[in-house]
Amino acid sequence: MGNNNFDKTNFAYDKEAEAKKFYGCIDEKEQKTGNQEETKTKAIKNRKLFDLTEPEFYNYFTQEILPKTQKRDFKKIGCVYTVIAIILGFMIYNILHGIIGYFVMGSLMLSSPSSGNNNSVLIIIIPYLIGTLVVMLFILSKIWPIFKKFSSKKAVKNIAKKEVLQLLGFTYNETLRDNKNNEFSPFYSYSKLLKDTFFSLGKVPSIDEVIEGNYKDFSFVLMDLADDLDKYSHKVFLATKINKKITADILLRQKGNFIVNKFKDFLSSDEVVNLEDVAFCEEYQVFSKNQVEARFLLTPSFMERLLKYKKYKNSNVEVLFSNKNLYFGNIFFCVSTSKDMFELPSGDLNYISKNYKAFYNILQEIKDIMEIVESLKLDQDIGM
Amino acid sequence: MGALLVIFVFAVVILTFYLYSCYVKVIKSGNAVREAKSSIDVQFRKRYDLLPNILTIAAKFMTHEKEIFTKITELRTQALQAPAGSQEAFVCNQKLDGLLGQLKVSMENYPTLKSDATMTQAMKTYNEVEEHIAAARRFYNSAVTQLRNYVMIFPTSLFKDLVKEEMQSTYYEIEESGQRGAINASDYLK
Repeated sequence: MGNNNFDKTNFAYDKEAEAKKFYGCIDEKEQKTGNQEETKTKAIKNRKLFDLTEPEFYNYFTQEILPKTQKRDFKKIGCVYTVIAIILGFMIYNILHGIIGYFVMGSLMLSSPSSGNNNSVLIIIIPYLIGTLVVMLFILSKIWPIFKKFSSKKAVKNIAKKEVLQLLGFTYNETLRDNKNNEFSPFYSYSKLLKDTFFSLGKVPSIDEVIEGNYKDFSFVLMDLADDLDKYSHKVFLATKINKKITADILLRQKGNFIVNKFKDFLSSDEVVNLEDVAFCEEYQVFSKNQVEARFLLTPSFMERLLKYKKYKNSNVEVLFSNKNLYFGNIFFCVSTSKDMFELPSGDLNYISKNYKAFYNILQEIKDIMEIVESLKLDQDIGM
Repeated sequence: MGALLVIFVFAVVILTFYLYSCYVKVIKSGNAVREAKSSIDVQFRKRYDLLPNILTIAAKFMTHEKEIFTKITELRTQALQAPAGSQEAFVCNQKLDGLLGQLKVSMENYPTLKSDATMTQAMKTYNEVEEHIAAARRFYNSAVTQLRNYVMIFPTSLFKDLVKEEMQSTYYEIEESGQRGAINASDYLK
């Protein structure tokens, strides 16, 4: 009996510690460690960052970000161009060497009375030239992707985004299309989740870019979803963690037409949850294995807030409360947006990196999405 | 003649399937009512387990509220003894709701109790349990509504005799004298 209580206490403490770690709340004991200090500073810095006005952000950007960005840009560009120059120089040297060798050896053989014709020279020179060409092509094939990476518009934008967003306190990952089937990738679970929940009926979009960070006291992972077939439909996937114990999966799906709804009902392995809010039921279909848990989380005020948010933003919002921690978070949103999110204007790396306004816009877009957390009062320790 | 026979057989098959789906719906909703009832019991059980802890902590500070403690303890015992899901248990819990509401209001008069760390934690857990009870009641009411709809509307009403027992279930409503009573603001502004 006593043992049981001990376990429960420990469990509660672990949960609390875990929550503190996530929300950046630091008590006296934790303050001793440098790691936690860093988290706290980062959280405060992050909180301020989202509250900056455009002129304030300009000052911050020119003082804190720009000096670091410029150095990195020149270093990287210089490195790539040096490698390309060395390879090209080596190629030209080898070809010239071969041609000169051909003429020198040819003339030597002609001047020698014992020589036959210059065919024997060709036998030596041609394999040398072909060998050189093959080696050079092989090296070129290896450096071509690097060159392409630094020359394509999207790639240049991604480099700028990665560098500047990292300096702003976020983690940026570019396209995950290539490793979405890699089971060891942390985002594999997200691709699977999208397939199993929000996109169980249609084509699953690719995860285009991923931004991780903190918004006020909330850690989040934001993913821009790209539908290759439909360029006009934009969706953002948000994963965050709330301070509520969730014991069953609850999925809130936007209602479609009658047949689609019936089809969704039929395909779902979970039960349909019939809630009492008529307006909410007109907009959403709710699926869960636990009827009580669904109602515990979807209180009348939560439903009202979600509808209000949806109306205010004029966008489709689908929600999944999960009892599993998939890489990160236990609440997931799929929000449709009117434009392609987190995009930068085209240009060279230096121009993009200096474009404070573009990064300010990205911050505003993140804030815009993350407002859902405040609108639904997920940040407050109250019943939903 | 052959074509008519085919149409007749087809119609019978369709009708059979339709009636079967009606039967399934009624049985399922009857079971949902039972499930909802038992889920309320599960949540109540959590409440009963938590109550002694709260009362023990509160008794240290609230020396003038002995009467309310005694009533709560008596009702808890009665509710525990009543058969699960029975009308008696429902009534006991409704009364308990009212008394616990009163207890929470009384606690407002004891700032030291409110600020006690153990009490804060206990109240947090209690609030969570209460939220679960509210959720379980909403599920129960929803299940009862659905069952009533099926039993009253044709053709599912053809199978109403199969769920006679579940049809006895009434909606869960808050106690008239307890939570629904009008609030006297002067009580709080003393």
